[in-house]
Amino acid sequence: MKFSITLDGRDHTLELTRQNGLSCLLDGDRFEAEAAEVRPGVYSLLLGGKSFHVQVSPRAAAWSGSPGSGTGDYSVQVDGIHYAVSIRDSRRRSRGGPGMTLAGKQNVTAPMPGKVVRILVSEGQQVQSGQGLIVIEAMKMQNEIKGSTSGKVQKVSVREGQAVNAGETLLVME
Amino acid sequence: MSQKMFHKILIANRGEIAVRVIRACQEMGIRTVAVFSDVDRTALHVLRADEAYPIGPAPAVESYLRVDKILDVARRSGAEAIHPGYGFLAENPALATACEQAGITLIGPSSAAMELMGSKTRARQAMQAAGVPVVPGTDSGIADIQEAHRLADSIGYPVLVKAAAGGGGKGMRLVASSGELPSAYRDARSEAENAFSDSEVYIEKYLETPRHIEIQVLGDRHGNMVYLGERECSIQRRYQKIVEESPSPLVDSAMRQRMGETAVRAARAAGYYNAGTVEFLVDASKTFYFLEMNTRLQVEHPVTEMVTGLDLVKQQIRVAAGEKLSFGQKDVLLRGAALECRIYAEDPENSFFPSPGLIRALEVPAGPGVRDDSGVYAGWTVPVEYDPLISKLVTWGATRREAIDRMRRALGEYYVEGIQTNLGLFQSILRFPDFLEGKLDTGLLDRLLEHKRLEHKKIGNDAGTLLHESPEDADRRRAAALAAALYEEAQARNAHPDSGNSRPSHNRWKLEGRRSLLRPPLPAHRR
Repeated sequence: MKFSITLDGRDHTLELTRQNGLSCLLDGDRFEAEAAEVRPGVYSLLLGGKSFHVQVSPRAAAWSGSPGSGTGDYSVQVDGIHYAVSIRDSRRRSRGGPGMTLAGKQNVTAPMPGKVVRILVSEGQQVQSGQGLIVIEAMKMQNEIKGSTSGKVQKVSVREGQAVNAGETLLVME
Repeated sequence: MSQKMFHKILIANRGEIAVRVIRACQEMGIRTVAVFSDVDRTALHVLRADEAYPIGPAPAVESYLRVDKILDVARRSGAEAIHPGYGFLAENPALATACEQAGITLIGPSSAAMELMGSKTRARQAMQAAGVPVVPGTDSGIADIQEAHRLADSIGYPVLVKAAAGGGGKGMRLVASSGELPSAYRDARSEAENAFSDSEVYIEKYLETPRHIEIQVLGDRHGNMVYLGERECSIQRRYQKIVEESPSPLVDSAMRQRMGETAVRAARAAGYYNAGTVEFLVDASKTFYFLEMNTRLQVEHPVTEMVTGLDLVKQQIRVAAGEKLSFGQKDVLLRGAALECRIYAEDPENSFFPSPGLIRALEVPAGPGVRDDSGVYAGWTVPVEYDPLISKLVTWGATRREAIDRMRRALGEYYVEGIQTNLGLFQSILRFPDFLEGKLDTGLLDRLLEHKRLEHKKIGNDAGTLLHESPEDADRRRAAALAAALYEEAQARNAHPDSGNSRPSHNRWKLEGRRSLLRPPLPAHRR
């Protein structure tokens, strides 16, 4: 099976073949591995005699994942070193993130549960990438949600003082 | 133990610090009373205490900040003293006053000392009168934005707008130029109002990349006071300390004595007793300025405990019971070095946004020189209503280098599943050359994050070769990629049961996958 993997911002391809263990081809570089599952999400990997304790947990899936499919984004911890991993296997359809909708619109969603304390933009307003849009208070801190792209605010879906769940749409950009 | 020693203490707090205080009480044979909000019924401090009483709904203003409810529980349970921990009511003179009136001992300073130091502006005035150097700035609150502009112009940008009642970076904004002042003034006031019910702010000169070094003091009610060395707290993000250590690599014994004696003078000027911390900013020429005094036990008190061998919570309790300090300044000896990492439920991969939620699995480090002061357990849901601190990992070593090596080893053993934490960030900090060389200042973390961001950008466009990648890094990356692929493969098999060979063991994958992926979002406010 062939995978496209982004590991801490770097793109890789990994091909797995099962024959007396695992044969791996990472960016054209072949290595043999032996994998044991300690419990779901936790592996002991032996790579040429070197032992690795690896823990894989889905990122944010508990909050905002669409039912039935993973987000493909994982936090992976190898002997205590953390990696952000995104993975796509070639047979699965590419998955739009939960923030994407059709027709070039983008939903800006709450990254965590909390309370809307301030809305910094209004409907119809043109905003720049990186501009603060909404301030959400959670865990005693005020967190400014910034826009990831430039565009126009089509709709503000929340009001100040409102409690929001993680993944809930705050506003729609176009 | 003296005859006057308390038999029962109420802990007016939650989380790791409540657990910490309970531990000291248990060792002293004192019974403990916990209080809890609706979302904290099964919190660790409730499970550990001898008695526990509900005090209201989740929002702190309706529970942990309610002096009347806490006093009521103290009376009903027969607690003779209250330990406030840090945060919540710890520096609120209203609790101290209510205790004084109810004949209950507050384990802390007098309400008068608390009130003086609690107002950053009044404290600055008192310190100047006592000959303690302060950071240039205003000595009173600001009336309006016009005055703010006038004062900031006269002090010179950059400036900090700070809440007079502030602490922990809340109600504080850095302002680089006059254009940024209106929004910073507005945000600082609103955050201060929310956090402290007091919107007064003042303006202080912003020292470029200063070091943040604080002195622990401890005094009894008989006029004895000692300083217990310093803590280096320069590693901060958004003015929130995340790594602390003692001793500071910058401070030699002569400087320690000067700072310590200044701290004791500052505390005496406020008529202070019990444990307190005098914070200083130190500039490049090692000149130090009084920043503020924290009239409570500090989050980072364990590093002082590790190098002095003292249990500060027990000392606090003894002093509060009226005992004299059993040692003098000459008896205070610092041994080795200690480091603390504050583990927060937040997501370094996503703007450090808070990450509350269910802790599905938790593995905590152990072994030589390791201490974990935690307030959580596997199966506990970290609530959205409170501070994101879930634990403090502390290591001790004979030298700074050994403490760092132990911390790196211990971080490697730490595993939290279900919520995001900043554990990975510490591994970067503890490998950053400036940190290893002891070149610490409050700008270090921003430099490190910028460095990482640039590196990601660079390698993102240039897959294949990494400039300085060790063979160990390369192997770990292989392991990370392989494990993620194995996990993804199992997920895919669940989604398409006809493809691939399905072995019985896949049922566990399926169950786990469904459990972790189909779990509905938690309600935002479980009131």
